[in-house]
Amino acid sequence: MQTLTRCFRTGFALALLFLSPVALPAQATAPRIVTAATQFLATLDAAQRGKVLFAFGDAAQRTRWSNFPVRMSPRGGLSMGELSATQRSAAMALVAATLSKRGFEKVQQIVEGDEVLKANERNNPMFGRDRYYISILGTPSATQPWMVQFGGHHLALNITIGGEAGVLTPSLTGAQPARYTVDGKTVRPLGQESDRAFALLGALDNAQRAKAILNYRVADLVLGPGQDGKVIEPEGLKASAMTAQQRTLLLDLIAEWAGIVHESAAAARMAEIRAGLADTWFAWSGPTTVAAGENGTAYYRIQGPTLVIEYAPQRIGGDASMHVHAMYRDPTNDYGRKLSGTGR
Amino acid sequence: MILKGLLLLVSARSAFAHRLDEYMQASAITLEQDRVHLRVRLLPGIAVFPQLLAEIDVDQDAVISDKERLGYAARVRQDLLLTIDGNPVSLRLVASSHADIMELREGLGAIQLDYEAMMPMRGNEHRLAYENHHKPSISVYLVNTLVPPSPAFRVLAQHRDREQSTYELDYAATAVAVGSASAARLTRERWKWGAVATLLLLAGWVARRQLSARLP
Repeated sequence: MQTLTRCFRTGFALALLFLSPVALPAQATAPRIVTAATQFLATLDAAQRGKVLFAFGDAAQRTRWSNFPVRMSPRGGLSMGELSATQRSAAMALVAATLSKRGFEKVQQIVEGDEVLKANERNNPMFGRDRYYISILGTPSATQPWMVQFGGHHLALNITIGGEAGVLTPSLTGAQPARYTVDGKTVRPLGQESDRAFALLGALDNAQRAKAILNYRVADLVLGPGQDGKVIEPEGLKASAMTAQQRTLLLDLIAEWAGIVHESAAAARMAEIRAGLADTWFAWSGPTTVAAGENGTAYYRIQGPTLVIEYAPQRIGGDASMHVHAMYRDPTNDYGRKLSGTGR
Repeated sequence: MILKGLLLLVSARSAFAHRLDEYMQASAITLEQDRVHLRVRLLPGIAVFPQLLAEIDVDQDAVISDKERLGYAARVRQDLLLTIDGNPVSLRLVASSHADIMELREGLGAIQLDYEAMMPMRGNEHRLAYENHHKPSISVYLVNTLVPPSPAFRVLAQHRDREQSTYELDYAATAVAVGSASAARLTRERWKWGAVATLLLLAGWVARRQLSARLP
């Protein structure tokens, strides 16, 4: 009987070890991303490789990102529009390898939203999926840090990869239109960022809301592009004053950004954020109600020891629920400086 | 009417992606050892920029000269008010930069003005009040305090009006901050008086040499 129990225990432990959904990708992510990068680079000619590759320490390229369209704020690297179908597919496979499934889906929805904007703007060539750029900083490696950047209008992903670790900060997501229809299906690229924020706000009692809701208007991102390295004094409601259920809702909301990067890096990032949760603040400015299926028009900010998230609806275009900018930062580790040890 | 016309013109070009009919003014306050640093980032929308252009590019040559840059920084300063514990403190421009006119015209560029003010350090708890009344009819404001680089300062409370054009910051300066500010001031005073004494000594030495050269 004892032998049977031991066999069962050993079998269970082995099953946990080999079948765990976390354990497997943790071993496989870095080589998978390197393979995707190598395959992408192999599709390029020498001139294209010269355009897409930058030194890892190229500070100018690192910070060459914006919410603006590329024509207004030029990016470095190769645009999707100058790639063949095969090259483009390999480029997107590299981006996908660095992100989670949901993260990549969000990125695709942002890019497709810009294609909708292009159509709405009488086929304005300033917008659309051809206007997104990819670049690689450093040498793709399973052990040494390097970076992939992908972005254009309303999108700036700065992904530092260091072995199994992955850092997505600083990154900007946005959408205009923030709600559109494809094949009869409504798409809201940043819909969960709105819905989950309202779920959290709705779970607060009156005293908590009085702290969380700021009595002033916040018209835009405070720590948007060009504001690297800054930390503002936090305001609002501290998570230490939330119930366990409210803190879960807060973590669900944070996961909309922290979960964009590939799964093993996202798990590590969420653990880090959870560790600093008691010192994390939630602040809200603007309308406290929203119609079902619509995006809210309120600004909110989440700020913790290693985290700044801002969600800022924009008046530009006429309807703030249809135009959103959002920022995701880790002031202690933007551009993965903890991985590289080189600072910014 | 003019603004409406401009907006229509803008819409016809591309009403998306540009900042339009707002003049964004983002202020960031930093408490330093013995001074306050104030950075004001000004981002004009394309519909309001023509109103500002006449004030910035005074000679209308489509170039912002150093004189014009400093002139506009001085005009902005006139619309700012900074007090500490109720006493107005004077803001000194320490740096400024402008995007070129084309970028500003497209709603892409920023004007960045850096001011400093000396910070009185008597006592431990203080109230800093800041008001920005620059171009209120077309502006939206942001104002924040950056986490102080020195742990000697602790922010106690922040208050703003709805539009963020007025702001109050309650903060505590520990004995370390007060001490180091006093030490910094003392060091500056020592350097100043040391330099005066050296000059006097030098002048005396030169005079004595000249006098002794004239003597037979």
